[in-house]
Amino acid sequence: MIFTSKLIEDAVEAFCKLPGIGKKTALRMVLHLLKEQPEVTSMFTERIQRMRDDIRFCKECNNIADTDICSICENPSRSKELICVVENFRDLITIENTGQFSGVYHILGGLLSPLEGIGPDQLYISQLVERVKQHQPKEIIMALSPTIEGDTTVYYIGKQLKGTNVLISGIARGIAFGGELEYTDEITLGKAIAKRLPVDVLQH
Amino acid sequence: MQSFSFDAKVIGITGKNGIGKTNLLDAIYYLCFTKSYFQSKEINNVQQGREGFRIEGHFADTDDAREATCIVWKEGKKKITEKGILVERVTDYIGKHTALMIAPDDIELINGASDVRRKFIDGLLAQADSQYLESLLSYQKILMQRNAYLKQTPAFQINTDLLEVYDTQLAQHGSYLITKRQELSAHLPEMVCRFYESIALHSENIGIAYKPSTTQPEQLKELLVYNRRRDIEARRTTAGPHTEDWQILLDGNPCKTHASQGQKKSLLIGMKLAQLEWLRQLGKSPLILLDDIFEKLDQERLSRFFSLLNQLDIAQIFMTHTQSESIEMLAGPHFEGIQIIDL
Repeated sequence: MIFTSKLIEDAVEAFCKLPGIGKKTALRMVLHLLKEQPEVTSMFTERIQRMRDDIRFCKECNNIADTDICSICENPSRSKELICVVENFRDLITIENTGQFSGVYHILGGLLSPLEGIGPDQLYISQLVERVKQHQPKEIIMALSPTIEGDTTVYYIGKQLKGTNVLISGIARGIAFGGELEYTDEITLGKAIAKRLPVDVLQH
Repeated sequence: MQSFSFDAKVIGITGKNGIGKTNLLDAIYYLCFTKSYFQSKEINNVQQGREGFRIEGHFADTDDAREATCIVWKEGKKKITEKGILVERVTDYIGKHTALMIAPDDIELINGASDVRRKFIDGLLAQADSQYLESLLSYQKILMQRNAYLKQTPAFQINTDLLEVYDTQLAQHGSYLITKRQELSAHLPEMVCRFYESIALHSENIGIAYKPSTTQPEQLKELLVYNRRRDIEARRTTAGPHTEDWQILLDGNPCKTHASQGQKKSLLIGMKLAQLEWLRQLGKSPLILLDDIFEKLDQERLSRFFSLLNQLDIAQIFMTHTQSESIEMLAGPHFEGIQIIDL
C-alpha cells in the first residue's frame, strides 16, 4: 500500500501491530480518527497510555487489577475458602461470566509446556502453594484446559500441594448444553458415557 | 491432467523408467490415506514449477461411483472433498478406503532401524484399536515435553517433581502400548510364518521377538524413575515404548545379518501379507499396490505370491513393471483379464 503521507503511514503501521488488524482496517481507523475532533484522538491515546502505565497485577491472585489487590480478592462477599485455578485472564472472565462461582481465583499465566519454554518457574505456581499454606482454603478447583499440558499442570500442582489439607478438584468434562449428541466428538462422548451420573444429579 | 480408468481386477502399469508408474500407484495410495507412501514432505509431491497438485478418484465401492473423492494441495494447504462436500476432519476420512503398498524400500522393515518396525506394529495396532492410537499420540506428546524439558534445563536445576509428573503420564499411556504390543507379538510370528512358507515353499523357524522396555507393563513407571539419572545426563528419555524393537529371527539367528537377500524378500512379503490378513480380519478390503514386485521375487516365488493373492479375493490389484509381456506371462496364469496401462 502506498501512502502519500508519512504521518498516515506511521499511524497505519502502529495499528497493524494489533492482533487481527490488517493494513486496510488500520487505514480505516486512522482516517476515522482524522475525521473526528482532535480531542477524540487525545482521549483515545491517553486512555491507552494510562491503562498501560497504571495496570497492576493482583498480589494475591495475579489477576489484572487497578490496585495492588484486584476487585475480586477485595470483595468481602467472595469466599476465600474456594480458589479456582485458571490459565489466564481470559479464562477468568469466561468463568466470571457464568455467574456460578463465588470464590476467588488464581491465574497461573500459562500451562506447563517445556516445548514452548514454559517450566514451573515461569508460572505462578509457587505463589499458589504459598497462598494455600497461608490462608488454608478448603478447596482448589482446577479449571484448566483438558489437554496433555493441562493435565501435566494439574498433576504438578497436586504434587506441590501434598501435605496441605486442601481438597483438589477438577471441573467436569462432558457433553455441551444445548448441543446435539451426534455432533459431539467421540472422545468426549466416550468419556461422558464412562463417567455417567445418576439422572437426579444431572438435573441439578 | 491425466485420467485413467481401472476396469479390471488386476491392473498392470507399464512404461519406461521415470515415466511415472510408481507415481500413479502413489496417487491411489494418496487418495486412501491423504498422504504419500514415499514422500513425507508434501512440497516434494508437486511437479517442479507448479504450485500444487490435485488427485481425483472415483471409488467403485461407494454408493455412487460417479461422485468423486478429490484431494487438492496448494500452497501448503490440503483440501479433501468427498462427493463435493468438504471433509473437515481428516481422521473421519482416513479408513474409508484402505490400500496396502509393497515397494522396494520396504526391505527397511528388516534391514533398517527400529523406528521402521515400530511404525509397522503401531500401524497394525492403531488400525484395530482407536484407544491404542489415542494412547500413542498422547505418549508421543508427553515424551516431546519431557525431552524438551531435559534438553533445556541444566542438570542441577532439574525439577524432579515435574519429571515425576511426566513419568506418571508416560507410564499411564505407555503401559497400554506395551500390553497391546505384547498381545500382537505373541501371534504375529505364526501369521508371518504361514505366509512365508507358502511363498518360499519351505518352512523356516521365524521369530519376531518383541523386546519390551519392561516385561511388566505396570512397571514402566519404575523403569522411567530408575533411568532418571541417566536421562538427565543424556538430556533425553533413554528408554520406554519409543525405543522398543522387534528382533526378526530366522532359525534363531538375526535376519539382518544371517538371512540371504531372497529370504529377506520372502520374509518381507510374509510380513506384508500378515498385515493384509490383519486388515481383512478387521473387515477391511484393501487395494493392493505392488511397486516393482517383479524385481523383488524370482519367478517361482512370484507365481506362488500371485496365486495366494488370487485365493484371497482382493478387490483390486495394481502392479508396475517396465514390460507388459512379463506381467502377462507371470501374472496372467493367475488372474483373468489383466488390464495393461502403458504410460
